[in-house]
Amino acid sequence: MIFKKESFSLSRKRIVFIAGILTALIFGLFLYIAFHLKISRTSHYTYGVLAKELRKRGEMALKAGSYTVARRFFERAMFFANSGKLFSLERELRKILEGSEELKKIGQGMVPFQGAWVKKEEFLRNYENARKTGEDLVMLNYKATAAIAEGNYAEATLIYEEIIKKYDEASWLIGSEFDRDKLMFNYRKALLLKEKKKGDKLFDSRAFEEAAALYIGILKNMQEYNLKEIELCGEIQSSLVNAFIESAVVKLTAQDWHGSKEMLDRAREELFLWKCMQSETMDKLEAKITEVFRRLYFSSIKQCQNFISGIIYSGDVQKTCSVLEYVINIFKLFDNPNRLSIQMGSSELCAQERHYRILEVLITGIIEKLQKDRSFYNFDEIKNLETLFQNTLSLVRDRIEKEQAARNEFADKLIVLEERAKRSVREGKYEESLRLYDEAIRFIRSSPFRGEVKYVAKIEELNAAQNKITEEIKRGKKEKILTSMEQLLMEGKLEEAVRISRDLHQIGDLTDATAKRILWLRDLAQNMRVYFADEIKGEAVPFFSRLYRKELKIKIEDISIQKLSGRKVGSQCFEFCVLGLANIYIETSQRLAAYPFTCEVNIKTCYDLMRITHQSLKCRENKVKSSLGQEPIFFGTQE
Amino acid sequence: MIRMPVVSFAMVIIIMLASACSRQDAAINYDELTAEELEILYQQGHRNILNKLCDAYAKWYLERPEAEWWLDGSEYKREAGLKFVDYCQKAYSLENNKKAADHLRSYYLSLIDKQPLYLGEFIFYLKGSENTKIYESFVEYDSHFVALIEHSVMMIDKILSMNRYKFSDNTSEMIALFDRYRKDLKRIEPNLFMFSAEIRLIISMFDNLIESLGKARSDFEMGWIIGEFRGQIKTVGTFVTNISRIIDNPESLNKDILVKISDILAVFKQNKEKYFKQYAVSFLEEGTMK
Repeated sequence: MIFKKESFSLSRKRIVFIAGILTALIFGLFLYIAFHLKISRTSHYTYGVLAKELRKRGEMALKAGSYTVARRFFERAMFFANSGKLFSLERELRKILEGSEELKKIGQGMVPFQGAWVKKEEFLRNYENARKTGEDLVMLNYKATAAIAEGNYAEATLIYEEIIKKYDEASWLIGSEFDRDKLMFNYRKALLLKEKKKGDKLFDSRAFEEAAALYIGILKNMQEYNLKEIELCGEIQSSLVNAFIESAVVKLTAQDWHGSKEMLDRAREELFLWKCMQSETMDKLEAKITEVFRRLYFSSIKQCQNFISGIIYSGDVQKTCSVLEYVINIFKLFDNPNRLSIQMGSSELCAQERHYRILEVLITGIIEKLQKDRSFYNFDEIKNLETLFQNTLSLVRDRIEKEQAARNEFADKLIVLEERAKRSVREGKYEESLRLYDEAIRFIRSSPFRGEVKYVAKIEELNAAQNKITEEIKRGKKEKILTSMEQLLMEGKLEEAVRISRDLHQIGDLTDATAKRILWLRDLAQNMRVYFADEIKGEAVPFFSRLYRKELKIKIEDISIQKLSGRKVGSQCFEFCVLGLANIYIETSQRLAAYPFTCEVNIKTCYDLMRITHQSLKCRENKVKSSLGQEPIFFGTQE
Repeated sequence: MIRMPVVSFAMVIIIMLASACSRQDAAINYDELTAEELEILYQQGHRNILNKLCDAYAKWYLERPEAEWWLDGSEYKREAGLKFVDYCQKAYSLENNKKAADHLRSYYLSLIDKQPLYLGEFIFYLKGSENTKIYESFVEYDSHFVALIEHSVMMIDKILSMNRYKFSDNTSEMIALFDRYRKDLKRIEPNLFMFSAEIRLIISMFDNLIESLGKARSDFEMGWIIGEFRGQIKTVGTFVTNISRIIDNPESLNKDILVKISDILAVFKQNKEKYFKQYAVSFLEEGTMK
């Protein structure tokens, strides 16, 4: 009992203890609940903050069209909304994700790529390829730069072509890393350098004009493509100007003054055209041009001096005028305001036909121009040239004085010779006059005035006089032959007449009237037997036809002229009496007979009629013995 | 006896508070948050997460694939870069976070190629990161590489200017010199840090040069080969030359940073000169060129 009493009765201390424990537990529980509630509220809040901020960022990205970023923000916002049990926010976010086609596509593993939607894997493949291309471009750029540094411009050009091709394929990715304009610039620069190298090679092989043409092409291209490479431009411009200068030197050495001047003009033109050289280089090149120009000036004018010296003693006006033209052309090269005064009147000057006078005017003009050029070009050496021409002018003036005296003497002697020749002609001393004319021509030709137009014409005049005399001599000879032939024919000396006619061929020119008459007389002499036979036959045929009263054939043969005499009737005609022998052969159907005849024929012939006129004919048969047969036969024209 | 309830009460309170606090940690796991999310929290007053924020942004900026950035847009990457640098600089300056310095070192290294003046920032954060391995690679091996490149360029210029028409008289000496360069390059290659991309290309260039010189049949051909090599090495070595120039004349670097990195620059320069002098003993400089 005691035990029970003890077990069920609580001491006050124990009651306080148990109450304390209970109170502590209850208070602790409250505290725990309070802390738990606070902590839960803190994480809920944080999730909410994250979800809302991410949503805000997502909306901004969506507005900016960055769908992948927006999708990422919205998905994370949804995650935090869900974690924070912010269901209304979660619903709103889901609505946004489902309300946008672009966000839905991103959710389906698609990405926007170059204006289309592609699978992300495909995009990544493209990206990787483009990235590799970008790496390749870095290496290729190195290679191209190295090629340019080594001067392998052709190789660099090819590399740049490859670079640009690759760039265009992957420009969507590497567009910001590489500047296409810069690549094109490098490519064009490499092309130009390639061309420049070609130009430099041509320059080195002394093909200066071809090199210059290439350099101009390069500079034009640089301008067209706006390649502002001032250093390269300056280098090319310098090479261009040098090419023209060198070409001018080559032409200068070959004494092609005009070609040389043209090249120098081009050099000067190009020097100021492109405006990309430094002033120092420009000054050097300008000095070089001036130096070559100076050489051209002195070389060409010295050559003028040489030419003038070469013709001083020639006296050949033609040559002098050629030199005059040459000098004028040379001075046209330096056609500054100080023009050569004789340029315009060169033809008038030449017409004067005075060799030394032309030279005097020419040299005086040159000296005047040199005096003016001395201050214009500021070349000190012009003074020396001037002195040289002054000396030449003194010489020419001395020659002019001497020439005048010689000219007077020459003219007097020529007049004497000509007068003597003319007198001989008048006296019929043709051979003497011919000799005198010859002497006069030789005299002119051996004189220093032979080149002058006046004396060239005088020679022609003397030659004409000589020809006239020669013609006169020939005409006299022909007349003589004609007269002799007429005489011989009238005397019956036919053979001799023919022989004399042959002299006509030695004289020549068978076309004049005298020659034609000679030839006519020659034919007459040669054919006299034929005319004789024809006349006999003309009378014999009717005679024997009557005698035999039959058809017959007659031949006249064995003709010999015994005697011939003639006389001239008027100026054109001749009458001849021919006495001769001829056998007449008669053939009939029954018999053949031959009769020897002696005939006397009278004929007339005129030069203007050119035919034989029958006058009369008498023929008598020749009988050896008249007693042996019939009486001799006679026939002929009735008188 | 009276003390017991008080003790129990205190124990209950402690247990409750500990439990509440542990619940809070379990609710937000910062490691699962992205850089942008950490940034939101940081801006909301969670200042204790600065280091995590720097780390997250560094990884986000430096390690995220470029393709992903491209899809987002370059402005997001630029913004991330600025934030990365900003938070990591804060983390380094406020909390001396070596990891933040290391991230910044990586960042500035990636910029040096195009903007060599960031060399100062690179060295500053290299120093701050206390990355001994990289530091040693940089001052020991990169300095050797720079010395080798500068010496080889100088020698090639000398060879070309002094002996243009008589290469064949010194072929073996030239090849020996180039082979020495090549061997040294191969030896330092595994330890090189800054110029690890250039060295491979330069080794292959020396391989080609030595092979071509061995096959060359005339002085003209040799001259052409060496000339070509000079162009290549000068082009490829542009980055190396730029860095070397800055180290030799560091006045153009950020003045505040220059004061703090002058010791490293001095060591680099000293090493470079030491290696350069080692190469200076060569046939050409000894006057033995025929």
